[in-house]
Amino acid sequence: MIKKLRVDHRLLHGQVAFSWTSALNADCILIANDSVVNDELRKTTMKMAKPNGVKLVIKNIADSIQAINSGKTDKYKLFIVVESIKDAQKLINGVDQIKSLNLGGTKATEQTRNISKAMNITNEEETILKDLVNKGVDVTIQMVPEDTAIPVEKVL
Amino acid sequence: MKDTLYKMIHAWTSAERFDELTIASLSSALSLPKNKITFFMQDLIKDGKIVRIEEKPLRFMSKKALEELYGTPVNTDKIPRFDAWLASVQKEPMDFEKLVGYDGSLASLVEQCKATISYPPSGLPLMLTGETGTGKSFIAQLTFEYAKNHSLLKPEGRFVSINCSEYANNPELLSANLFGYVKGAFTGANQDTPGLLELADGGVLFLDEVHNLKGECQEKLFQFMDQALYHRMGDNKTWYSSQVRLIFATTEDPNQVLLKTLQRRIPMHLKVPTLLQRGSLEKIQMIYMLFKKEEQRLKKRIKLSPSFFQLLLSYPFPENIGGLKSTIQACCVQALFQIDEKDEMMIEAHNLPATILEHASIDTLLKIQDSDWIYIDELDRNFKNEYSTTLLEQNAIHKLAQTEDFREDALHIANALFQSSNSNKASAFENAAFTLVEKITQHYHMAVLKQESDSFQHQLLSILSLPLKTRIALENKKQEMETILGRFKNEDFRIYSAVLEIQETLKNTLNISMEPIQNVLLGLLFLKTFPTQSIPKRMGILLAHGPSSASSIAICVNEWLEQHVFDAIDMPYFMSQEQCIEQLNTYLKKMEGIEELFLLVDLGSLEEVWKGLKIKNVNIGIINTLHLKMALSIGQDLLSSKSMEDILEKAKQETRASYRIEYNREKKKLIICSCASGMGVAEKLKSVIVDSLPSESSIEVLSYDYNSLLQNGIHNPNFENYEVLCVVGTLNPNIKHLHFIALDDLILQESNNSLDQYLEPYFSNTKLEEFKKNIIKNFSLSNIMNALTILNPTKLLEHVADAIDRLQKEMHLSLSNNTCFGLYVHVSCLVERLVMNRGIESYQDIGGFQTEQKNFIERVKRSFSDVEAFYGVQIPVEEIGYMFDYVKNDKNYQKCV
Repeated sequence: MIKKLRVDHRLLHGQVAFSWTSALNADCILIANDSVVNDELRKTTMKMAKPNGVKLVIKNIADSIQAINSGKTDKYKLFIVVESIKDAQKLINGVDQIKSLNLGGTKATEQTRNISKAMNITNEEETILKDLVNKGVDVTIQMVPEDTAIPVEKVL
Repeated sequence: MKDTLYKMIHAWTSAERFDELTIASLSSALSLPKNKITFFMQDLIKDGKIVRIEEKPLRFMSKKALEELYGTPVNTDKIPRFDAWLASVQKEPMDFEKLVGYDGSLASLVEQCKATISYPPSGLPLMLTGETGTGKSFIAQLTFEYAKNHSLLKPEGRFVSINCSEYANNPELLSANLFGYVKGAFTGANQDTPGLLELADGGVLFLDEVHNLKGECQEKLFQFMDQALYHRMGDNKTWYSSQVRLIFATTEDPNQVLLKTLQRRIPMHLKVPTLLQRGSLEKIQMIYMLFKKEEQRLKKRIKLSPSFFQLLLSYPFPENIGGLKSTIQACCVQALFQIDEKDEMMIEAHNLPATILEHASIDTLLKIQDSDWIYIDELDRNFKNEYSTTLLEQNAIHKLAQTEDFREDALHIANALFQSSNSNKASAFENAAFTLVEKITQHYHMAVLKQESDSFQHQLLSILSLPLKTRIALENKKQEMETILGRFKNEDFRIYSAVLEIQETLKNTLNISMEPIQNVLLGLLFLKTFPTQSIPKRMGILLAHGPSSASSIAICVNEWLEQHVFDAIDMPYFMSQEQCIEQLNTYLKKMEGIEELFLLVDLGSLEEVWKGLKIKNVNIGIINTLHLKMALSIGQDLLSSKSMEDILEKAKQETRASYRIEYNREKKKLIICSCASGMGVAEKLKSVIVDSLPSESSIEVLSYDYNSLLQNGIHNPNFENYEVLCVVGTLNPNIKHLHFIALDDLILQESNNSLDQYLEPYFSNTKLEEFKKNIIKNFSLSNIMNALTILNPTKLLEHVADAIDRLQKEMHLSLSNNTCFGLYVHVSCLVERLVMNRGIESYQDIGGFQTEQKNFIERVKRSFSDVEAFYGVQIPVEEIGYMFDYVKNDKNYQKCV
């Protein structure tokens, strides 16, 4: 069962590991990312940040979609973290059962605009988000579980 | 019994063995108790047959013998002081008898003087040459006395002496004095005056320093010598005649300074030897006589300190007897007031002139032990006695130099010489010398048996401190002693080389010069103490090129096996094979009786050595390899009962060498970073490690392709110049001898397999701790690089890491590495969030957290005060809550709580 899909450019870090995992009562974190898979250093980082008693799976996007759809992950209370809105879109498109998206944080660059404390999006990403909202996906901004979830359409 | 005793006393007295005429020596000679001897003595004295010498030790002498010896009646039965009595009864010495050495070094010179002056009808002119102070004038004077005593001269004949050097600047005056002059011959010649020739008529005219005689004068002189006629100066008409015997003396070479014509007229040239050439015994006699004269002049007994005496004796005196004489007089003047309570004059070393003290070599000074004073009279008598007691040694040496059976005789003599051991207390100097000698004898496997050790030491010391008197007495035996040493070399090489080594070592280390006699005695002592090396049934010989190759190995093995198993023959490298075999044969000759001989040679073919050997009835095993291991193995087996073949076969088997190369050249240490996922990660890893190593580190870090590593291992030209410490990566390449450290282990540093264990040898503990911290920090840095937008990650991390360090100290807790890492990254992002005003404002049950974790919140506040100040932010309690999430999940924290 997929508990949540989250966009967080830092992928797995403290808040994700401790706050979200416990708030969601997740027992498996799936990092769906095409680059981390080949970056042992970052993988190690992830492993270090992972809370005890929670399984950590790192797969590229395609493999992630395949794994979820194959039903292999059904036995887990799954918390999926992706790096970018684009990756989230790929995942949502590939996996039917994902109906909501949590926006945790994206990095500010010259091309981005700030839509919440932690969220910075490009024009392209804004389009994606609008698309998703239009498709009926529940997209909210929420950094930590304690924050109130803000529907993304409010800030677009 | 009384008669026997008397006979012995008489015989010893006649033989002038005065010192032995004590109760003790007579009692032991006759094997009679002392009280019996004493009893008989009283009888003999009553009988008027013997006389008692009352000074200590008490002695008894035969009256009759003394009377015969000295031609004077002995009318008393006690003599208080024998020396004084002797002096009173001995007749005055005649002419040449006054000359020290007339029966010694100067005997032939004296004979020639006598012959020259007696030559009929009126003697021949005599020329004495020799260095200054050698006694030329005295000999001239004695020659005159001799001629007079033998009525060769007119009764009124006088000894007239003229020193030509006094007239060196006025030859006219010399002529005038020599030949006389008539009134008006020159200014101031107021009357006819006879010359010295006239004064000496019927006697002897001695012309000293004749090289100062001017040519003109020499001519006049040889005219006179031809015709015994001369003119007085200023009167060329009147002939005067004079029957004069002429003696000339010069320190120069007569060929250089005298007219040939004059020289031709002096048929007899005699050279007087220098003081040095006269030898020590005569020098001592001179010292005695010179001091005796001073004693008589001062009317005091004179005694010398031993050091004074020895310094006087060892100084060469370039001015010869003249120098000795003036030195002795100067010393007496110096010591004029050094009179002790017995009214005796004490002369000590410091009374000597500075030149003599400076000349004294260290060893002379050190060897001298100032013990008893030497009285002048003793000097004369004791030396004569000492001379006779060393007769044993003299005879021994004479015999040894000529004997057929050297070994046998040497052993006898050694036993006789080293019978008694007087236990003098050895000086520290002598002890040092003894220790050296002992060490050397051990080298030669001449170990002293325990029970003989004491007497050996005494005898050795008595050789090292051989009385000067003995040495002097044997001075003239040098040639014979060389011969004896040569015989040692042939007969017992071991002892010979030990003696030579001792001589050299003592010279080099303690500056003791061993006299030939000491070497001979040492050899004899060794011969006695370490008797005949018994020839064993089997023996080994090492034969090797090089100054000491064979002997070093032999010494080593013999020492190890504690037995003399090997003899060694060292061959100079240029020695030919034939010469080697020759030497070997010489050696083998001495090994008669041996059954098996093992010969280890370093070079050369077996056949050639084999063919050349001349020894019969002996099995000889030759092996053409020589090294310590083999020598030791063969040596060991030699002592066992193994057969020769077995021993050599085993040695052959063992000869196979094995090798191993230890590439120990100091190589640069290398850490390889290699990741299955590609070079990118490896590069990152490399930079993390490089940045973490202490700045002065010389350890290199290389990133390397994982697949190549799998294929090639570390046998790769890239690593050739390195010593690879370990590979750091994600997947173990499983290469033999290559340590692998997993990335996790590198960072977590919790397992036993962490990088720092390989770095331990190169860094201090502090540096190592710093390295471990740096790894976490730099690893975190690589993570926050991507996460941060506006702040400088390096600087920020510095601050954050410091703050977290402080927090741990506040909490008295060391957080695990992954907590630290998490906190580094988290707090770095947190600070940026706050800077950008985007802090998180909610935390689950914030109220509860605030009350429950009050301490933690305060600690964070304190620890982060610098960070807050630097970045101008305040960390809200909610954010502290999230930090606490990390801490509460830390296993070290959990252990504490």
